[in-house]
Amino acid sequence: MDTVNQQSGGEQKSQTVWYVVGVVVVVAALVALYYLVTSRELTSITPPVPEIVPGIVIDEDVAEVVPTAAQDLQALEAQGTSDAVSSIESDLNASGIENLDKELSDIDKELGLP
Amino acid sequence: MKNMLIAGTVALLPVLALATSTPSVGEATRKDVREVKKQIQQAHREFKKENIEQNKVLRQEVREKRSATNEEARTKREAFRTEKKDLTPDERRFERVIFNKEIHAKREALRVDIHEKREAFHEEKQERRAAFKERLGELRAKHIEAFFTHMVRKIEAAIDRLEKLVDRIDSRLDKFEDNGKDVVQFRTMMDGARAKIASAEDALGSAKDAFDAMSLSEDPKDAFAEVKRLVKDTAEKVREAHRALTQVINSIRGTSELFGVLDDDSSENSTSTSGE
Repeated sequence: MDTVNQQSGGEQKSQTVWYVVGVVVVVAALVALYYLVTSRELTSITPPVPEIVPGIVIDEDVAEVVPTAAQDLQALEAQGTSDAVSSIESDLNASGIENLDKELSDIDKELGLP
Repeated sequence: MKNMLIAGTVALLPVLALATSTPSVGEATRKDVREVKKQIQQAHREFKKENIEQNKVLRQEVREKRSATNEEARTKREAFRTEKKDLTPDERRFERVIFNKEIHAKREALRVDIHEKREAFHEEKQERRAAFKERLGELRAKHIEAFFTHMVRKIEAAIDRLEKLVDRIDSRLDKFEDNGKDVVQFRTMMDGARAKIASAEDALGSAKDAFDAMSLSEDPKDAFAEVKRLVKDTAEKVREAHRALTQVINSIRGTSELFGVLDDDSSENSTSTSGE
């Protein structure tokens, strides 16, 4: 009788050990999964870092949505001060005003327009 | 037991009927909140409408002010040309500095006015974003506001760039004139270019108003068609102004008598003091 009791006690112990091992494995798997998912989310939501251009102040949201915003403005603002015809001509040619309304198509996309 | 259940159910029936026929306190509160929200939105819409109308009036005022300043500068320049024609080039240069300072101060005051109005639009971004958010969701609202704001900043920078180029060309024309050259033809062309720049700034104001209206529109997609038309019109006006300035420079270049005489390195990096 004692032997039977000892045997069933041993089985119960080993069962408990397996339960604990199972729980530990599940918790570890969950923790690993959590880290995997959060790190992926972070990668996907981290916007491209906008380049900082000295002297150009850009709104935080704009810098996040349009990473080239500072360079776009810098290109338009940079010009010489000379009144020599050749210098004025050169700045006129470098004005880069062809794509001023480029973002209209981005807004179209946001609105789901073709 | 069965009788008790039946009696209980019968007793509860009127309570249930009452509960279903009259709104609960929570539901009534939600209705109130919805109603208040609706009223606030309506009030905001009305306020914006008034604001847009007010902007139109302000733009008209700026237009008139700009036109008056240009006219005054033109008249004074004519008077300067006749009154100072007998002075030596050095004396004329000295008088020119005083003359330009006065005109420059007036133009600067006008530019400050315009810049203040521009900033007023940028300061209202949170309100617009909140309004867009209600119809389009947070992320789209953020993106649309950012794209439009950036586009406006670019157009403003382009207009400023053209105005600085106008100052530099004016400064060059002053030098030609002080050396006895006839620049009347170029001055007339510059007046045209200046008018085109003013027209671009004006068109940008209309585009911004339309975007404001779009943020409150029940159908932003539909309202965007008008915004798009106005922005395209503005961009075209900037390009027209740019073309007008290019024509002035090409004409100056074409007049070889003028070009080459004064376009030397000694004037490099000289800061324009011209106001016209």
